[in-house]
This record gives sequence, C-alpha cells and structure tokens, in this order.
Amino acid sequence: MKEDIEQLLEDLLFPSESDEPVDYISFENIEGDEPLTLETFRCLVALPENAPIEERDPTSFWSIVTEYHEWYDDFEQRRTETFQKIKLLLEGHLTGIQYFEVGEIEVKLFVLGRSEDKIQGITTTAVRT
Amino acid sequence: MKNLFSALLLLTIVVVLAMNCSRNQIVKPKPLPNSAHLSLGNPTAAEIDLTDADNYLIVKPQYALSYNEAKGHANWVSWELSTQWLGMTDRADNFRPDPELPTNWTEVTPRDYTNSGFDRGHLCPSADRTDGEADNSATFLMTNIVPQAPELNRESWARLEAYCRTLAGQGYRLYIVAGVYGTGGEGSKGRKKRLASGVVVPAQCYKVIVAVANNGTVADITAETTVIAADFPNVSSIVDNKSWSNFITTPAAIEAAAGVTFFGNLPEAVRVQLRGKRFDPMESDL
Repeated sequence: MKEDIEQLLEDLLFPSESDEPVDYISFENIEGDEPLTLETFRCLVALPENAPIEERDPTSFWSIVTEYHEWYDDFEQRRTETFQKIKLLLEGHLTGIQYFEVGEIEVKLFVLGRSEDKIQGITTTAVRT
Repeated sequence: MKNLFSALLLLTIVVVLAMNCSRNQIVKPKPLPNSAHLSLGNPTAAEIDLTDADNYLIVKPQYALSYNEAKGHANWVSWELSTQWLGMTDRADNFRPDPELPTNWTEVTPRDYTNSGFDRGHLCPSADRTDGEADNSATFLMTNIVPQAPELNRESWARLEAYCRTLAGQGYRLYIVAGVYGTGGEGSKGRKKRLASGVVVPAQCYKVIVAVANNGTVADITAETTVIAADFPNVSSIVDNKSWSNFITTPAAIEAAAGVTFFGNLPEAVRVQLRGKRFDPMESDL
C-alpha cells in the first residue's frame, strides 16, 4: 500500500487557511489490536506531555476533501478524486481507522489504522485561526 | 412673441428637469439596509451600487462588508461581537466563493490562494461566529478573506482576535471593523503585489475595536469607552513573533492611511475623542 499511497500523495495539498502537503506515515512492530487511546497515540507519535490531542470521527477529515461542490474547477475536482482514492486504499488495507488532531492554530492531522504489525496512515497540517 | 419664448423656455426647463429626475432614478443606489453590524457607521460610505464596484456594500446576517472588485477582496468587514454570537458550533472549514457577488464579477475561489505563500486570512474570524452552522459557515465566504502573511494570520492577528473574544466573555459588546489597504506584502514565498490569479495582496491589515461594557449598545458609548486600534504590516519578517501590542495606533491614524472614517454614527464630540484614543494595555482596566 505504501507505494500506491505515496504516488497519490505526490503534489497533493490539504486545504485549510493554507494548503499543506500530505505525507505517508508508518510505525512498525506494533503489537495488539486495541484502538489507540489519546495516551498510546501520544507515545506512538512521540508528542510532548502537554500537546493538546483530540480524537474525532474520520468523517470530519474526509468531508473536507472527498465531496464535490458545484463551484469546483479542474484543480479541486482532481484533488477530490485523489483523496477519494486514498480513502479507499486506506479503508481497503487497514482496520480500526482513527483520526487525531494535535495542537492549535497549526493543527497536525493523523488518519491511522492497523495492518499486521504496523500502524500506517497519512498526516498533514491544517491552519485554523 | 415674448410670451411664446417664455413658454418655450419654461417647457424646456421642465423637460430637462424631468429627464434628469428619471436618469437619477435609474442609477440611484438601493437604500442602506438597517444592520447591527453598521451601528457605528459605514467606514467608506459603501452602498449597494453596481456602479461603485470598488466600494460595494454587501450586508449579511453575520457581518457587513465593502467589497473591492478590482482587488478581489473586501476593503473592510464590520461586525458586532458579544456572547450571543458565541457557542459550541464546530468550524465549518468550507472556504468557497460568495454567491452574493453580482453576476459577471470575478469569482474569487480558495484555489486563488494555493501556493501563493499567503494564508486565507479571515477578516471576521470563524471563532467569532460559533452560535450556529449558518453563522460559522458565512465566515468562510471568500469575500471575508484576504491574502495574509502566515506569521500575521497565525500569530498577532489571531491573538488579537482571541483577546476580543475574551472581552466578549467578560460581558463587553464589541463593534469591530477589520480592513486592509495598500498593495504588496511578504509571505512565505517572498514579496508579492498580487496572487497569480490577480487578487491584490494588501500592504496593511488593520482592526478597530470599540468595547462597550455591560453589553451596552451604541447609545452607551462615551468618550471613556475603550477603543483598540491596531495596524499591521502584511509582512512576515516584520510581524513574526511579535505581540499585537506592538502595532497599536489610533483610529485617526488608520483613517488617514486607509482613507476611511470610523464612528460616523456617533455624536461628533464623542467621535472626535474616540478617534484619537491610543489603547494602553498596561493602564487599561481590561
């Protein structure tokens, strides 16, 4: 899945008050299959103790980038198509997909799921003032 | 002969007057709508007048603005802020063109800002409109957005916005105008006068806030009422890591620089006092 996703991520930008690149992320040798808690997620991604973390429904991430709108031009249509493919890939290969947001103003976003002994997914940044 | 001449002259005058009257009726702008967001005044006497496309008034339930068609963004947005406008609504995050722009005007879309080095900077912030989905969503219309240096949007501008909401939480009613002027700013990809799409990058972003204690209204405003005026260069390297207090000025200074007039609806004696006020964070009761 890694190669397929990375190809789709090339030049892809996540829109917010800015437009930020989207990266593939993976963690190897992860045992167990329980959902991540805020704490285990914090350890996994090596975040500082006081980093504000929120878990949200993955729909709140995908709805921004996988829905077409009537005013969309080529650029937005292609971006939407690409994000839809990424969503399908992730849902096809991973179980227990979760969505985390870290920080304020420059908010780091993580969509992660499990496959075998890995946790994989995508990460990007949203600017929200 | 003389009578005939006078009659003809009178007839000519009447006809000319009648023609002028009907011409005026064709171009007369619509009467100014009554909006809480214009309570303090209309900084550029903007009207709903298609012949004045660079100072075109758009009034929404959530805010009022003067749109500048040539620049592709607002001259200013004016809104009232109080706890009535604050709640638990999530950010809509749905930047989109404003369908209220007159037909045939250039439709500015979020794409116009992509890879420009400038953020989509809100004039009326999303977090000032969290009382419901429709109100929050309205802040993501591109007519409320200007190309803003990232360090301005994410730091001092954001913190001044947060300060306003703190005041609202303390029971103040705020009348706020946020606007831009000038051409040319510096973002993460260097200096630009315009985005690739043609939208002008402003040189300065200002905010003028009148904070009325105890949820008062315009009628309660006196020469003692708190006024905060800040004028920020839209230049990353100047605003980086700086508090908004570094950019405090007077409404009068912004009036002169931006060509606007604040507090037009206040009694002249009060207006004169307030436009000269310079907020001192150290001495203020706030």
